[in-house]
Amino acid sequence: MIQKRLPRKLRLILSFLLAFTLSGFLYSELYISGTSKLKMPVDKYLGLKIEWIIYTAQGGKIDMKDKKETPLVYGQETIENIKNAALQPLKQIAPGTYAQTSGNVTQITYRENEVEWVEYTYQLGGKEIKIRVPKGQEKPTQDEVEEMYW
Amino acid sequence: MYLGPFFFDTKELFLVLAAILIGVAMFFGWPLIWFNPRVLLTLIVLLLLTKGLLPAIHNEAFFILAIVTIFLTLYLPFFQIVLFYFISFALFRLLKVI
Repeated sequence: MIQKRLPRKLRLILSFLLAFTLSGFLYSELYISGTSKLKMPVDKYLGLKIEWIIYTAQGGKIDMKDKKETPLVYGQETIENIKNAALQPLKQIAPGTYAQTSGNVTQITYRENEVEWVEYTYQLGGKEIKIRVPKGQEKPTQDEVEEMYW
Repeated sequence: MYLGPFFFDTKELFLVLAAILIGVAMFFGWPLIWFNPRVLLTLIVLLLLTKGLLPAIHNEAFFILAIVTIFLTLYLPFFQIVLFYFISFALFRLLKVI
């Protein structure tokens, strides 16, 4: 049937376009970015999608306009804590990393020059690449470095 | 050309040759501009496997798919490329391209 209606080359191009769209959709919707692991079981995902379609079809849509116009409002207590956190003494939680806490607010300060770095050298595609890692942290493997740079 | 009980056509031999070249490039750390040799090598293994399962009559469609897939490795993450490759095959069957 389809053979008679569409010439072969057109079907080939159609296959590519569909495959490109479908792979992009599956990659972003169904899988955890950059891995072959599913975000959730397919049946659960389809169930949620169908529920969502029914919900929106019945008029129950989220009003994005309202959401955008609503400013982020903190409680009075949080506002006070944000002000107070900056006045608290710095507590070192790791070399070069400090925290100031007040109630439910924690402010992190990072001082790069205080971190003790260990430098590792890797060969990548014929080039020498140097990577600094905080002292005490595990040395990245060759595979991890390749993942970062390719 | 026969290698033991198996017959290899020129395209398969070139794929094997490409795999060997990429393997050698990886071993000696020769840089491949733009392309990631690990991705290419994995892709060539996939191409060889599917080429082995596909009758020679469908060589043209396979060739175009291989070219498109290799080109897409420049832009897309590898897992998306693998998805694209297998979905294309499924659609080839569905739309009677092969």
